[in-house]
Amino acid sequence: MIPEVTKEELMKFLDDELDAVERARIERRIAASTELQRDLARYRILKAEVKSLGSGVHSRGIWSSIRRRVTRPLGWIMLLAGSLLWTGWAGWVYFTSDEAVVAKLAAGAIVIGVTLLLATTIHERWIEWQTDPYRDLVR
Amino acid sequence: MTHSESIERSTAEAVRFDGHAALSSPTSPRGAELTAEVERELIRKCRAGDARWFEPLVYAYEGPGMRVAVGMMRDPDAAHDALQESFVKVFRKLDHFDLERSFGPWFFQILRNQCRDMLRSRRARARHEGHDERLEERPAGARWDPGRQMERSEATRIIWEGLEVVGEDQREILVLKELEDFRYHEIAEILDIPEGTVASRLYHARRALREALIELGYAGVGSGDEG
Repeated sequence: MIPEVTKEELMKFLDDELDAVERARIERRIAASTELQRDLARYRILKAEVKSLGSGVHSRGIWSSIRRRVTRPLGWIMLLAGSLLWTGWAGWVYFTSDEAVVAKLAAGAIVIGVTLLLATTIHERWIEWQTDPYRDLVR
Repeated sequence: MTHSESIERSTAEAVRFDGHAALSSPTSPRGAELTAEVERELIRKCRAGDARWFEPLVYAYEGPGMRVAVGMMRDPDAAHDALQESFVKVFRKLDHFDLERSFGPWFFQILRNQCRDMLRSRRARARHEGHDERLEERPAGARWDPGRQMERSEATRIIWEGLEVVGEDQREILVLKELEDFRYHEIAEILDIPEGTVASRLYHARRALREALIELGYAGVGSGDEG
C-alpha cells in the first residue's frame, strides 16, 4: 500500500520546494493515485490562473515622487533652522530696542495674531482632511 | 578589473540604465536585474547621503511591489500610495538595514505591513463614520475595480473577487506565492512566520480560493470535493 501524501508535501511538490529524493518519492505516490493527480492538476490550474492576474498590473513610475520626498528633509531642515535663527534675532531686537512700549505691544500683538490665525487654519484644514470621507476618491 | 571595481561599475551602470522597460516589466522576476552585491553597494551609497543611488532599487522593485500591493489592497490607487509610502520608509530605514540580509524580503515585509496598516485604517474610518465595512473595503463606484487597468475579462474579475472573499491572511500568502513566486523561506521572512507553516497555510489558502471560485461560478478550477 502506498502511504498518503500530506497536504504540505503536495504543496511543496507543486511549488518545487522538495529536494530530489523527496520529489521522486512524491512523484511515485502521485503516479499511483488518480485522486492525487486530480488534486495536483486542479492546484496547477489555480496557480496559473492567479499568476495571470499579475500580467495586468503595471506601475505608473513612482521614482519622481519618491525622489521629492526623500530629498525634501534637507529643505525642511534649512527652512526650520533659518526660521529659528530669524525668530531669535527678531526677539533680541524686539527686547533690546529703544522703541516705545506701545509700539512694541502693537508689533507683538500683530505677530501673535498672525501666528494664531495661521495655526488655527492649519488645524482646521487638518481636521477636515482627516474626516473627509471622499479623501481617497479625489486626487 | 578588481572585484570591487566590477561592483562599482555594475552599480554605476544600474544607475545610468533607463531601466523602466527591463527592470519593471511585468514578467521580470523581483529584483533579478540587481545582484545582491549590487543592491548592498547601492544601499551603502544611499547611506552615505546620496538619494540618487536609491533610484535603481525603486526601478527594480516597483513592478513586483505594485503587483503585491494591488493583490493585497485590490485598489490600484491605494496600492500606488502604499508602494510609494513603503519606498520612502525603506529609504529612511536604510541605516538600520542589516547588510547580511537580502533586500527583497525586507522591502516586501515593509510593503506588506504598510498595506495592512492602510487597510486597517480604512476599516477603522469606515466604522467611525458608520459605513458598511464591506462597502469600504470595496470602494464605491468606478473606484473599485482591480480589473480597471487590467484585462477586463470575466475570468479575471471573478478571480480577483475570489481573492477578496478568502480574507486578508490567506490573500497575502497567495499573492506572495502565486503572483511573485517567492520561495517558502522568503514568504516566512516576509510574513514573520515559521518556514514550516508556509506549506500548510498555502494549502488552506489555495483550498479556500478554489472553493470561493467555485462558489462564484468559475468553472476553470474544476468542481467537487478534493477528498
